[in-house]
Amino acid sequence: MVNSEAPEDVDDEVLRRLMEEVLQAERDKLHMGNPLGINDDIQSIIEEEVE
Amino acid sequence: MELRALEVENFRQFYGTQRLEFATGDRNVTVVHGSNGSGKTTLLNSFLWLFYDEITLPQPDQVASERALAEAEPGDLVTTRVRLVFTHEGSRYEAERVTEFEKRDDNDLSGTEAVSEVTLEYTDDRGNTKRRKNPETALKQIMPERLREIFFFDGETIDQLSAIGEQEKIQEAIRKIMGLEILERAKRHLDEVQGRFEDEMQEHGSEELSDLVEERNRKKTIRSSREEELSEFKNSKEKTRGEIEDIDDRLATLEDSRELQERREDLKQELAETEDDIEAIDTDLAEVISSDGYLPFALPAVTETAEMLREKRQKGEIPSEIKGHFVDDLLDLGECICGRPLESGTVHYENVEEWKGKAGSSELEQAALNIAGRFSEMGEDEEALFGEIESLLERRRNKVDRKREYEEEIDEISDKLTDKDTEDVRELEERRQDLEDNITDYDQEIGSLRTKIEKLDDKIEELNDEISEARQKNQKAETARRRAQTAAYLHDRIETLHADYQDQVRQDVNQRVNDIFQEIISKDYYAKITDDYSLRILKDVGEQKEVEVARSTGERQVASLSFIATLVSLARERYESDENTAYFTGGIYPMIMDSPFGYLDPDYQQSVSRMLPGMADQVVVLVTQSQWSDAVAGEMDAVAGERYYLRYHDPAEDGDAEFEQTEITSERVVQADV
Repeated sequence: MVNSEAPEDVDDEVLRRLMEEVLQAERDKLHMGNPLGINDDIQSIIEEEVE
Repeated sequence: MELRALEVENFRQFYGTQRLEFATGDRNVTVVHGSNGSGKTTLLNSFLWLFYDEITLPQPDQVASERALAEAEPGDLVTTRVRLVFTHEGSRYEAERVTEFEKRDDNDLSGTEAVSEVTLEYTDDRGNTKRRKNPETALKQIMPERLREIFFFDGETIDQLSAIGEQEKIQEAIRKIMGLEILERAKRHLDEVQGRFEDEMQEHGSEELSDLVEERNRKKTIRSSREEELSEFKNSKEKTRGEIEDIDDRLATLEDSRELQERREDLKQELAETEDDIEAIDTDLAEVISSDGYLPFALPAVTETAEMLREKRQKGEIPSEIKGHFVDDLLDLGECICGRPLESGTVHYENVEEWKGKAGSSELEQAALNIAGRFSEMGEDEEALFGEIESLLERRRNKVDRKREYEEEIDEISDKLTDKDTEDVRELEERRQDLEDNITDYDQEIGSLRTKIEKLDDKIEELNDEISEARQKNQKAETARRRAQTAAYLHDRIETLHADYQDQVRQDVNQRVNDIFQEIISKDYYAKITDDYSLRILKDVGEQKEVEVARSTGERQVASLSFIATLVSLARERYESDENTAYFTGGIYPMIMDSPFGYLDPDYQQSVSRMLPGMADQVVVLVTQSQWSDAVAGEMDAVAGERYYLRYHDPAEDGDAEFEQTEITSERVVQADV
């Protein structure tokens, strides 16, 4: 439904930080076969940065 | 991951508790010597049992030591344990699998599993010891099961890694060890999160806002148009009123009409004042009804309550003749008013105490008196209300009669003026009547337009509220859209990163595999991981063509070893480098090899043993004496930081040993291969 272009009003620094935070969240749950709650974690990360 | 110590207890032929520590640092090789059948592969299997609850040996259900079971009594439990201490990504771990086997009868040497538990404790960066709640999964994440042939490799079968059909293992190993898995998971999860935001978008977003704004604007346009019409009618009415005033002035100056016109002016004045009076009376009526109008409705209920209270009073229930506290005082005093002593438990005491139940509540009595008092007041109020309303209505009726009389008289004057013989007067009055009719029409139109405008104002206000609500919803939808787009963007970036990184990893792995392979193999062959993740040994035949060459088991073993060493060394390099990426920080992995020199030519044995210590931070080799050739020993003796021997007790040869048993010792043991 949405395109994958960089969202307007979200600057590059925020996007870079988001990328790092998402990958760090994945790293933190890499020891879990089925990383329960990871979608909630990623959702929160994006919600905090994009208001 | 760096291995520190392994402890086995009653595991297969390892009777009692046996322990070995692993070499680290410069002399990073741990060598375990053991003859064929002495327990090298069992030792390798102790890792598999701990990590994956699996044994790849014959009789896999035989986990507990036969000797330990033989020494136990029927019904006893024999503890089998494997415990591994290691460090991983900066934390110290202690992993342990413990299974209690119950001995069922005298002849039971296998035991029946009674209780089994896996624990994984780790020390975090603040030095606190914590326990993983998902120990088995966590262990499999540290040492993925599909990679067990990489981490715990059996030299006799490792060549199979380069066989057709093993692409999945190769691909999985690259994914897991080189950090591609994080990117793959992030892609999948971002896609799911994007879906969540899109659902939110749909929930809040709609075309509703634009429809509402359009509707409101349409209503505003209609309202403007109505306002214009209203203004026109008002102007027309005003103009007509002016025209009537001119006619009135004219009639007031003409001889035939002057007197009637003056009377009409007076009547009009009286009529206007009477209409004002009627309006004032209506206002007074509204105020009176608004403030005291409830009385007629409330009074029946109050009357009924008052009647009920009156009956109670007549029956003597209120006010009560005896107060509760009076009875209490008598009981406290211990003497009745008749002089009888009142002692608790006596008939007299109980008789007096019963009066407490009959005594009235002072609060209830007070409330009853208040209601009764208020009732009479309310009755008076109601009478006053009816009197006031009646008076106002009477005045209104008089004013209405007066108004009607004025109107009739004005009408009469108009008729008289129309009937005048003087043409001017007649025409002027007829014209005046027409204009009055017009004003009546204008008033109707103005009234109708005002009603329409009021309704439009109500509708516009309603639409404004709906627009405000829709705007708030739209704001949520817009935020959700931006978040969904952010998730899509991150997904796209990670997808690109994954594709680029995957290509880079494939190139790096290919280059490193071939470098290691060619350093060991003296021929002009080269090793390559193809696009479908097959590990191949190829030869360049010119004209940019390459063919797969027939290979010996030893060459395939070297190719497989090169691949494993590649992953371990690339992961270590990344771990030690300053380059920092969130998705791949690399890692330290040991190489644990059972009979790594099994099929190798002596030349390859020397090359492999020379290279092994440099391939990984930590190398554990389990070898037979025959594999420990002079060439191998010459390369590895200097880097072997820990060395153990497996002392095997074979009941067939050792008269003292009733059961198969292996001891781990640091004392040199030389036993011939079976």
